[in-house]
Amino acid sequence: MIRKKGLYQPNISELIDMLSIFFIKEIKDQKNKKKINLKLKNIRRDLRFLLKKKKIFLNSKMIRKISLVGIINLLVWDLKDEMLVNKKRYNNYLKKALELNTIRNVVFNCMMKNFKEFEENRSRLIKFGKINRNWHKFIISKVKYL
Amino acid sequence: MTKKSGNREINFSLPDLVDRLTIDQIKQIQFEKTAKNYEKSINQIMKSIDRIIIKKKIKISDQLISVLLNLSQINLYIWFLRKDLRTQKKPNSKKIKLSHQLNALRNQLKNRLSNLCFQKKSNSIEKKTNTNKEDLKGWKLNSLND
Repeated sequence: MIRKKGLYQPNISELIDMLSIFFIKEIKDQKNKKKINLKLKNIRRDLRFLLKKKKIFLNSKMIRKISLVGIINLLVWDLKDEMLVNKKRYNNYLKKALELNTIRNVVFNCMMKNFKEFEENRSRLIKFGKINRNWHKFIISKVKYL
Repeated sequence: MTKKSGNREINFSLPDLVDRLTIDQIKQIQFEKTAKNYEKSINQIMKSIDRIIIKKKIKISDQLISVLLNLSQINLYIWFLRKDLRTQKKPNSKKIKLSHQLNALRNQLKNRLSNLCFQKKSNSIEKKTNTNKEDLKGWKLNSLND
């Protein structure tokens, strides 16, 4: 990806999210190995370019956030596969996938602030329903302040 | 062995702590009813991680992000396999073998994490030795081919 001023291009948090999805494709989509490898190479190159400018040091909160993005994206992928196979539990799986998406979005918005690249228009929706399940509320309450 | 904390001589290494963090995070998401129980251990792990890395001022890089994402996802793949095995009357030997091979991959990632964070100062006796993937196919990870 060539970075040009004035163009709408992914920030660090969006690249991390993208990277986690392409790592899943790296395993699941063996037919398109070459294209996926090229994409991974480019995502990482862009990340290197953007991170070079920032002096951000590793800490446990960042480790937890990055792990959460990786875990949640894979869980959502798995749930979407299960929805196709197990029709009886379709709604349960879909609900869980959407709940997980909001948790990941909270982490994403948090990461944008950590990387000092927060923009309102890039922030993701964190509300799922009017009344959320206790488990969902609990996890959100913990990751909100990471 | 990492440095002393209080009267204790033995502490977990950074890769083991990060590994543990991702596993507890998976459990917190999967075991909804007991999610609160995992928050305490996650916080303790995070505190232990910070104790090791905060003073080292390790800059976040694309390599570190990649290894953290891969490690969290490999642990989830192993989780999926073990979950399938638990529900089967006759354990599927292919899945047992795959979870064993993925464990080797996981150890490679942990060693890579150690190298990235501590470079030449990485303690050789702490390195994971079960890193033989045997005849594992289709799991060539971008982050291990830097």
